[in-house]
Amino acid sequence: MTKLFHEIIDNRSALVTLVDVNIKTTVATTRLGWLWWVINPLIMMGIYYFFVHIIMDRGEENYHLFVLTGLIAWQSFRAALTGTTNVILKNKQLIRQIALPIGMLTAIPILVQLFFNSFGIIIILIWNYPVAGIHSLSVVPLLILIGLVVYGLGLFLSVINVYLRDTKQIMAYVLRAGFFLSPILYPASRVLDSAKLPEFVKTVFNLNPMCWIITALRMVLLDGRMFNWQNFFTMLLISLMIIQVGLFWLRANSSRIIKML
Amino acid sequence: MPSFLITLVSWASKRAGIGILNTDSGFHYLQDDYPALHQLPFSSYRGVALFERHIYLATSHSIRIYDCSNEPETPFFTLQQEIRYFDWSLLTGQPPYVGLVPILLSKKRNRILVANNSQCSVDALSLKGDFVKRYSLWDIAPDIFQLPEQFDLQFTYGQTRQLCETTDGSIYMTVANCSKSGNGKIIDLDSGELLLDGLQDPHGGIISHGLYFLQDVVQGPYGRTPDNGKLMAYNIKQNQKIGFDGLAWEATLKSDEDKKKSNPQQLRGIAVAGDKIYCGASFFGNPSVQQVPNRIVSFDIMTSRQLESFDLPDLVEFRHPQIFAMTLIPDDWQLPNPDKKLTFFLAGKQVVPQPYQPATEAEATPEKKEKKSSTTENSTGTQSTVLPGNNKTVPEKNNSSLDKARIQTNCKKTTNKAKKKKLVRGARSIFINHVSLCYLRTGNFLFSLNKKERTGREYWALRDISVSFYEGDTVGLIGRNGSGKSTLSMMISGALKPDKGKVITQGKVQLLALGIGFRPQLTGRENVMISGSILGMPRKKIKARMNEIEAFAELGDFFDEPIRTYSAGMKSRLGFAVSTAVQPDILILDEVMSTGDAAFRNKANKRMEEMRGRTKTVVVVSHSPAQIKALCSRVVWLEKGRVLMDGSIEDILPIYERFCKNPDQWLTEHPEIADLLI
Repeated sequence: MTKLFHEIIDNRSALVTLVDVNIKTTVATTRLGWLWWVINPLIMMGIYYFFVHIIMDRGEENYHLFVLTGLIAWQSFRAALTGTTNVILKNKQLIRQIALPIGMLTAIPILVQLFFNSFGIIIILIWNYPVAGIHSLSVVPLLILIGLVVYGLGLFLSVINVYLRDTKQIMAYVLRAGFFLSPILYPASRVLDSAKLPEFVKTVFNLNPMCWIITALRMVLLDGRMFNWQNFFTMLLISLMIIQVGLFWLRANSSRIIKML
Repeated sequence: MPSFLITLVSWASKRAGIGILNTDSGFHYLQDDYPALHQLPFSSYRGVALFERHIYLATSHSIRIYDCSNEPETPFFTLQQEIRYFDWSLLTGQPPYVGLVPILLSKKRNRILVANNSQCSVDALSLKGDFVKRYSLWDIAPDIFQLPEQFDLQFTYGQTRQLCETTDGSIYMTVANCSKSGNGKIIDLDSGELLLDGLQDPHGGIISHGLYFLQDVVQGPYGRTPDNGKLMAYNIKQNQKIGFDGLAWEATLKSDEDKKKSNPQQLRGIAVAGDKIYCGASFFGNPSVQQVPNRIVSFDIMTSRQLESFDLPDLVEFRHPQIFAMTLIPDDWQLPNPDKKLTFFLAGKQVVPQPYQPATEAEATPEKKEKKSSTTENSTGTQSTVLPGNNKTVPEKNNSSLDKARIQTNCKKTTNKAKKKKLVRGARSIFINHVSLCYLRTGNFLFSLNKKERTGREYWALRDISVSFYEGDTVGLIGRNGSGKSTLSMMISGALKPDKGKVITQGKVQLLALGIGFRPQLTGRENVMISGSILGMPRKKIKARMNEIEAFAELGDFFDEPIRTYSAGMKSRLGFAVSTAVQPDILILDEVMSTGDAAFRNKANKRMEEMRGRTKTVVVVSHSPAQIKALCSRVVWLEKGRVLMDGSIEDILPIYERFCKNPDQWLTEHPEIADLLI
């Protein structure tokens, strides 16, 4: 991991520029520019609010904010993970010609997505201003945690995507399933407290990192409560360990994948 | 920091000793326990080898085994055993270097091997010192060493100077003065196979980094030349058990010109630590004329450049110590007195070392005068002379016929006497050593019926390539599509790692790629920022140079427009302006010069000239001979992943042009070259 830091420090100017450029190009390709990053979750929220709350008559009070928080967290996870999966193929020119470190390139889509989704978080904070306060700052470590989880998974997926180019298609289905299996439209307690479901299903459900993160985000943003820091650090530690293994895996494979680009 | 054990002889004081040099604290230990020498130079300390904290020291007539003692105020090396055999002591009135000389401890064979030059043999002993076997030179290689029919065996029959064990357990002998011819040879001890011939007076012999190092190979008749010693590195053949593959580099010991004349120094003693090779440099003459102190000198294995010098002290009791042999001490040995003061034991008692002449101590080692005297013959045998200072190339004339262009694998041609041309070159900046690279073609469909299509095939894009590029070189890589040019340039830039072999580069390498990272939606100015920072320039520096880049690209108002509105020529102009703003040490140009209109091309060529002035080495990749002609002095021609030819543009380009007209026909007409490709 220290090697990764060295690579990043050596190429920091490339990193800053690439993040900057990725944000700029996404903005520059459309007329409404960065407004889309506000409009998109709001429209999605509107659809789900209408469908679940009004038509199906489910969901409790403040269901619109409840859905919005889940959507924003999931969207940053999904977009960042799709981005990192594709990162090697997309930047093959830079890797082949300039020999930019792959470990650094993998971080770029994550940083870009976190930047855009912080807009959404700010919207929720303003919308739900009565519970905002100094404790709201704890969303920052949660967002970083999302980034680290994605980074760890992305290190594996991006390499697999070179060997097996169908990974992108498979990921689309996995993420679609993940959307419904994460507590986005419903609270996690719906699954965890259910008497009908066997224990192992609940365990599997809990293994989804986004499950805990979304719940924690809601605690902070909607209820103004603090999440369990012990769980946070456990997750942090696990994701750092995954990243370390991922870096080994990347290094072990890097000379092979460069040849396959 | 590495430490070395050194055997020393002082002809002036008639003494012999063992010393320790540490590259950090200098020469810090000297032990002299040899009875005063009356039979100089016959009797002295010779080779040395280490084994499990024992020191095996060959004197001229015995092997002494020392242990290390860490008790204070006693000598560090304590004599445990002295092995003597009667015919080792047989003095036959011959010139120097009879008796035992080099010693080797082979762990694989569990033997002490010592060359006994009085008997023209290599003697094998068990580690305890029991005599096991004598390998006589005439038994080892009967076809090289014919036994005379009369009383005629002399020292000119063959003197073994060094025994060197390879990684796979073969033992290479460096033998000088073979069978009266005066020729030095490298011979395999077991098979008697002749590995290298035609050497004059070789010393040393050690293997490291895929190279075999020899010292003091002199040109001309036998005898000590009034010149400084030389260090030579030979490529070792890969994939074959034994043998050499031509000279990789050659370095002459450098010292101050006028001082050197009074005392040229010979190289004796050789050891490798890390990426450096260390040699002892001593003057074997009257010490009263000595101006350059005897010293240990290190060379960089990759660039052949001379690095540090460690002067040996000149003591009243031990004047002008001359280095005979040296060996690397393992890191885990506890050495005496690691501080910078010299500890000196004379005949078992600690003595305060007294410098003989304080003036000689103060004299700095002259080392700065570089390049002037560095004549390095290139392993790949280019026939043009490159003067590193001003980048002018002086091509050799009238050599356009095919047989004169050198074929890379046939290295003997470099040493052929008709072309004994010395090349003045800069230090090596790129070293490609036996590199191979394999692409795996992946199967495209998982359920294909054709098994081949499913599993993928191996494809060797580069096959056992060895080339060196030097500072001041502008080298063209030519070859047809798919010959491995781009792969090789990507390997130099570090993006690809070789599957076999090694690529070593010195300095920042830059593959010049036009318009790398350009985004069509963003403006020219923003794209300059992207491309520049990807190429490794700090953002501040790009901002500072933005005006210069803007002026060079000549885009006018378009500079602040999105580059999707640009024409192709405008885009490449912008790309060229950014890419050339970066200042690397090694620059690789991969098919980039064919852009823009004539006016811009002129400007671009001028810019290229400027860049060549700043960078050390430029590699131009192209399949167009005209481009190569305009830019390069040396050409490396690749075909099917192998180096087909390597030489000056005058020699190679005409052949290449003929080849391009009909490659297959050309190859059938030149079967000796086609053979290289198999």
